Amino acid sequence: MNDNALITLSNIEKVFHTDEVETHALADIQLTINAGEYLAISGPSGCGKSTLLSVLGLLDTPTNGDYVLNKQQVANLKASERAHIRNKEVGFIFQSFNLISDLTVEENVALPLTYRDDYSSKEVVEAVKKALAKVDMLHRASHFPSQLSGGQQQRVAVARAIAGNPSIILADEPTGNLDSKNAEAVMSLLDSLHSEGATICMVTHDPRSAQRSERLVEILDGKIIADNPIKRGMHAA
Amino acid sequence: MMKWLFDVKYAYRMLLKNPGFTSLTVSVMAAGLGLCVFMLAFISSIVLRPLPFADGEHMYVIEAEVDGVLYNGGSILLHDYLDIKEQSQSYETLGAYYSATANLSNGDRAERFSGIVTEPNMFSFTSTDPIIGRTFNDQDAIEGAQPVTVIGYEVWQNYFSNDQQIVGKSVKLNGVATTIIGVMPQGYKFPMAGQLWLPMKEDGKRLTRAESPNVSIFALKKTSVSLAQATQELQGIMAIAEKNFPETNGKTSAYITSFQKNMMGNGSEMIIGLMLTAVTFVLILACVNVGNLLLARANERAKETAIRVALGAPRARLIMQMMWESVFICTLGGLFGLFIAAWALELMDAFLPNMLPMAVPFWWAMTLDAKLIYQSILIIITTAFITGIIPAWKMSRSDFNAVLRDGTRGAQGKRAGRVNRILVILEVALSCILLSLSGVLYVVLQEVNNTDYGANTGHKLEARIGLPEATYENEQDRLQYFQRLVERLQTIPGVSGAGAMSNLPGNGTWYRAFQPEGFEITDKQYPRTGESISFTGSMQALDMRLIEGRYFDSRDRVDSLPVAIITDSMADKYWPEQSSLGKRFKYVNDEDAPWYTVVGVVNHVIHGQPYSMIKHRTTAYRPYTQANRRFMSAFIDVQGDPDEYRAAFNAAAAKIDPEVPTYNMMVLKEKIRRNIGGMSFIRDLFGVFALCALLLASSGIYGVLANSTSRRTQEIGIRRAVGASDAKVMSMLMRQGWIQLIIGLVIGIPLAYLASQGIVQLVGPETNNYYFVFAAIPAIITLVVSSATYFPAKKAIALEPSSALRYE
Repeated sequence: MNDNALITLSNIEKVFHTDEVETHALADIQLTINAGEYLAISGPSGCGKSTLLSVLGLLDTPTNGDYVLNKQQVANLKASERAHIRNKEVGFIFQSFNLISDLTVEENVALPLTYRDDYSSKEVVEAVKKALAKVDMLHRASHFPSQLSGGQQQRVAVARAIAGNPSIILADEPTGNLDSKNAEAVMSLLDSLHSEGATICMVTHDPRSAQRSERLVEILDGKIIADNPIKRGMHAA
Repeated sequence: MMKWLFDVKYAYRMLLKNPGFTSLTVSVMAAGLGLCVFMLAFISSIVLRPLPFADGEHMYVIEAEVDGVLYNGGSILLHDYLDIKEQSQSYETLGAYYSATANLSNGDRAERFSGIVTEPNMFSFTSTDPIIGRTFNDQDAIEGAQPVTVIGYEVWQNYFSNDQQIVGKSVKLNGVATTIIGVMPQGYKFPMAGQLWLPMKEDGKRLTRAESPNVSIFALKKTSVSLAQATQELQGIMAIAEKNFPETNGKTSAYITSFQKNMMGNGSEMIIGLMLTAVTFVLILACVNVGNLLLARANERAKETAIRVALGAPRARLIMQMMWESVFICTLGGLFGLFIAAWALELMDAFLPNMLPMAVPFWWAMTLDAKLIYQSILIIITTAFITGIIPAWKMSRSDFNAVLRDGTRGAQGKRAGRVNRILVILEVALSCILLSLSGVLYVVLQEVNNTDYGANTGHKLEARIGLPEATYENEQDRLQYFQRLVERLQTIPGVSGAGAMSNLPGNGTWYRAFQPEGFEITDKQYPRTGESISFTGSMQALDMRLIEGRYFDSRDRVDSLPVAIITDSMADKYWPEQSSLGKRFKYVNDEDAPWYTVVGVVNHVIHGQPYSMIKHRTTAYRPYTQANRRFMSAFIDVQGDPDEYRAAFNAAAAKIDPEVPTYNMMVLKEKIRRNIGGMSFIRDLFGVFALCALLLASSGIYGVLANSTSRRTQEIGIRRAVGASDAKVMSMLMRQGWIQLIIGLVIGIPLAYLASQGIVQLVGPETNNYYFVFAAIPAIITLVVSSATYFPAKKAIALEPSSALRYE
């Protein structure tokens, strides 16, 4: 086993049962993500990349296979245990930002920390400030999401994802709802986080976004069909 | 600390953000909780709260049960009381009392008060000392002892103007010089609304059973004895008496109950049970409604919940976060409800004296005490839990992946929809039960309101008169008094008739065991009939229709043949298919009682409440000349408003004897109306419950169906896009509401019918008109549900298919 491995997926399968239809969303997934790695998952619509991200983020359980996160077997945990690990180890960035409209920016960022026992009120405030400062949104701390632009909302979502110092940031099409200017700003932010040592796993359709990562995993029909490092030259393109 | 404050703050913000939702849900809970608290306070005040004495919880009253009817207000023979006292092992204390008129005169003016003649131990029984002087001792109760009385605080304040030297003063009480020996504290009115107390001097050992007065028994039950055991013992003692003395004790047993329940009378437990059930239904409806609205809102916020789950929210936090809203809603609703209940109780306190046929019992304190407020808080907490837990639980178990994946808030549609459908069915069933009960009560009481009492009760003013024994010892004096009174009353300008009866139509009579001549009696199981004494001319003045024979007249003298006039119901029952003129009957409690010859038959007259147990009772009337009484009800028949003749009535009585005041003066119609006052009040309460139920159900059903239709907007768009006509879509949506309606009615109607049977049996309507309620109420509910389904469906159809397809 790779000592630097943060995540190891072995023989992962995910089958959905709807009425009498059985859909194999993931099949025989073998994947290792090392600490500090910046990984992109790509593939056509319906190929299973979002399902894979759900499994990685402990939002869903695999039907079969092993999942080791931070040296802990997490494939068959109870919902409450998964929620606990998800809260501590995973930071999510969604395509549609998924901020809670009736919480202010700072409350949105603080939200995952309020579910933890190891943060005092003071520590929560400090962590929120730090995360907002990192995404340059401290000046908007008391605003509500509806008062922000799409790019700003996604920056807040990034701040929420990093506030609790998670082991990995999972980003699902983080620029999918943004214009090119805001998309570039968000991608720069992810680059910056990565350069500071964050492990990032990003699902994306966008080849340009994918090229900013270090490694590209391609999926088709629920199977990994390619897993290659990104060449520097392609990044420049 | 911060964590739950975080959720509390959020819930507070959400409620502020949606003032419409907040005010609707708070109003619904305020109505439900307010009604519930009001009913609890009301029932607690009249029945459940122990009497305000040291041993209040163990204080009971024993009364007679005659022919299945529970009597109150003094119905046990003194001899039976003595037997119970001697043989019973169930009580710490037993004592007898009865109500009596107390005509008080201090030389200046006479006033009638409500007196209680009691054994001396009543005061120690209630552990109450006088504020001035003393109470009775055993010497006061010895025959021939100096007459003494203990007066109530109100009598002291109002009649004696707070005279500090009152103890030792002599007054005329029922014409007898009586010494006031004590004054009881303010509010002391035991056993119900007593104003002054006299020592009981009747010696059971010197009287025969036929002479035995009737008493009530106050009893302090031993804590080691259950009420069932005490009842069993009591019935055993009375069964022996019935066997040994069938003439006086035929069909007679006794029962023990609390003073509160005793005062409420027959059927009260059933009525109270129904009221509690009804108010619980209203509260459940309120909870269902608010729960439904919260569920609809939780559905709308499915995505938010999914985000929280994705961020690692523990389920307990998710549930609590949603529960806080219901806590806020129910707490606010509960506070408003408490205010509403307190206000309604205050109103009730003010109106009650005008609604009841008797004085308000002293324990009827229409207030919210600490115990009730504590119970209210428990109810509020329970309702907050009930309303919040289902939406919170459902949402915490939602498929948040699906919501996050496709972002639609309808992802919970199927599961949440099932809960909604069940809630709508529940609302239909509950409102059907409540509305039907209210409807049945309305219909049967309407029938009771129109009851023919067998006499013309309109335009009559009646007053009670009690001649003091000391000054009217002689039967001739009494006869002369009433003769003069009736003559004088007839001379009042505007009065077209006057008379006197011991018990006027609508007023209860004593129910006596008798033997009809020629009627076979087995095992000494004598029938009973009501008895009323009528002054000559009174039946004519009351338009009691003569069917056969004659009215009382001058031929009926004290020394002539004892005669009676009976109701046709009595004639038909004991001398069917023949003339009852000349037939005879005698009362059986006295071996020397004469035979009464029937000289007339009048139409059936109802004496007492016009309900099933009483209204069919037969009555025998005897002439005053042959059945001299000290207590009679005099009346005048007037043109115009009888209320305007009060002063003239009093003046006429005072002219004859200023020492004999009239009391309980009331328009006869009003008195009869008060006969069903309790039931009318219950009907009105049920009306309020039913109205609340209808409003709650209609708004709740509308909310649920509007929400579910709204969530199907896209589906409707798709159906129309592929060619479904508006009519087809409309019928599909209407069918959804109707299916729930039909299931709700199928559950509700039989339950409503069963629940209504208690009322029907108690009131005993003559017709089955109330059946139509079970058709009318479902029709109303159908209309409401159809409207609640139609308008959201119409709104959905009004949307262009292209817009519907884009709808989120």
